[in-house]
Amino acid sequence: MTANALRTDRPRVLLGEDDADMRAVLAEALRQNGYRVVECEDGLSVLNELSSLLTSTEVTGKDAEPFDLIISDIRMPGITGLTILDGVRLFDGFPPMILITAFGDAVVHTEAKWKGAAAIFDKPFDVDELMRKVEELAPVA
Amino acid sequence: MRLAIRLSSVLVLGMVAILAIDAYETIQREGEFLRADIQRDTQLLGRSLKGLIVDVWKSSGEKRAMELIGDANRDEDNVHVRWVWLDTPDGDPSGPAVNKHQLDAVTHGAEASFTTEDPQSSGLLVTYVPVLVPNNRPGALELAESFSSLESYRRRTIVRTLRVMAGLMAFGAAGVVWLGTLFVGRPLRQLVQAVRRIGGGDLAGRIEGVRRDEWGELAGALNDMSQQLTEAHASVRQEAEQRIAAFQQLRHAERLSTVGRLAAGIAHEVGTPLNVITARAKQLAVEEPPPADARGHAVTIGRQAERIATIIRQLLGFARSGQGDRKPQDLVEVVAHSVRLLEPLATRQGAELRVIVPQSQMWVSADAQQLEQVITNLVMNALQAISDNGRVEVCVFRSLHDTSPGKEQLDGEYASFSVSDDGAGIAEENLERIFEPFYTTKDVGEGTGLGLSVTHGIVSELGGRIDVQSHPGKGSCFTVFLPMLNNLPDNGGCAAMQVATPITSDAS
Repeated sequence: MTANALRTDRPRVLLGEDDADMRAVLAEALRQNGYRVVECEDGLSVLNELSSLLTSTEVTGKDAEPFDLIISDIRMPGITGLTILDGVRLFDGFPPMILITAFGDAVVHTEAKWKGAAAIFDKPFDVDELMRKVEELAPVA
Repeated sequence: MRLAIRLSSVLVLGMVAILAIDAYETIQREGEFLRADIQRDTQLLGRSLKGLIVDVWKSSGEKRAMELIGDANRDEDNVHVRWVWLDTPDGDPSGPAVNKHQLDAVTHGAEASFTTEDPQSSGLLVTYVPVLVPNNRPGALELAESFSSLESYRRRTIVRTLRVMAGLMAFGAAGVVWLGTLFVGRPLRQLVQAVRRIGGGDLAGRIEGVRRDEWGELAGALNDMSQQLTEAHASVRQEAEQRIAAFQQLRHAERLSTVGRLAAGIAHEVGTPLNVITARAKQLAVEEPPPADARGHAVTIGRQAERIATIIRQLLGFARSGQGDRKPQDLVEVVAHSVRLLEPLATRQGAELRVIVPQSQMWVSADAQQLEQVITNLVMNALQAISDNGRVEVCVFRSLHDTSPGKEQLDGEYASFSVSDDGAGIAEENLERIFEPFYTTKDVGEGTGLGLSVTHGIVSELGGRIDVQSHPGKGSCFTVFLPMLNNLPDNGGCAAMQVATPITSDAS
């Protein structure tokens, strides 16, 4: 039982996806399933979101709202999903991460699994299937 | 064989020289002996005649004595005896044959011998024996003997020596040539043949049947050498084969990795639009969304499908970049035309697009569409790299050789053009990869990562080269070198411009 699970409001998801249409599809699906979504269009924005969270809790003392799940595309301009995963796993209590990648990229697949990604989805995937995994990792109360 | 002849010649000539010296000394020595012999004989004859003449002169008178001398001349073949008065003046025929002052000793009663020149023979030995006759007038017997016997002896000796020499030369030459051939010529020929064979690349055969002497050692050394060469050859060949095999493996791996990268690129590029299309189509089919949403979904589906179509078109272009209808094209014209088409795009972006072309034409062999694609790709690339009020400059010029630094200089005439921008530039670590398919630093939707690959492919197919220089933060410059079809007298106003330098903002 983590602290996140005790919260009564809807789970918060950080979404990193550089393709606007794809981002719209995913965000819509998440919201329809009862999640709150913070959308980021590249890797840097994702990291910014995460680090502002870190700063606000530890420096300002203000209780910033943590994320319950991170969903990120691997191939993004600038900082990739794998780099974000590298950053995330340095901290205890950070949320599980779902990575989205292209199919057939076996090396990336292996690397992502080894680094501790909660799940990896190959494009094109079934959005409903992704939602089932999201529900499993961050259930809506 | 020549060596043997030379050796034997030297030896025989040496022997002949020794023989000649020996013969000369023999002749000299024996000639002296013979001369002394003749002198003694003549003196003895003179003395015996002297007593006889004095007796006859005293008993029978001068006339009888002279007859006796005549008789003596008849009996002697070699010696000519004559009576001479020593007090006659010089030049008197009855006087002595030599000058009188030489005969002082004779006048005083001593015997004397002289050698005189004789034009008919090899010289005369003239001996004077003084005779005291009753009238007390100084007289003498003159006995002249020719050296002809000495000369004939000398001639015989020379002939004999020459015979011996000739025989010796013949024998020596034959012997030395035979021995030389046996000991030097034949083994040497064998070795020369062997060395030629080795030189010709045949390392298999060994030199056999050479004596156990220095030649044998040399033959052994040559055999060892060809053995080592054979081994070295084999190892070199083996190494080369291994290297070729490794190289082929590497190429195979490289091909696989290119294919793999291409596949991953396609997967990623196509995966996202497919995902969007699938999701939106499903929503349209299942959820029956309100008309506004449905229209939006349909637009999204159309846009993403078009994206896939673009990728496929570019992939086909990438695969097809080798073909095309090649004709002589005026690069100046094609560049000017292509840039004109792109001007509205630049204007909309607020960018400055400049083109500098020479007055004269520059012909290259190319497919017009492909050439336009190269120019368009590079200019589009530059326009995307710059900020809104940036600057892109296209310059067509002629270069005598590929002027790009750090590359080997290829002589020849190149029709070239450069596309420079003052945009963001390319980081050095990305410079090597920019021509790889699906390599892009642009945001999704802006580029597929195939444009520069296609450009590179086309330029390579045209026998040209594309060079890129970039300074991050200052700009990039792509220069294309295409083989020129014919000489052009003038390369126009662009010649003085250093085109390989990117335009920097502070330079403008």
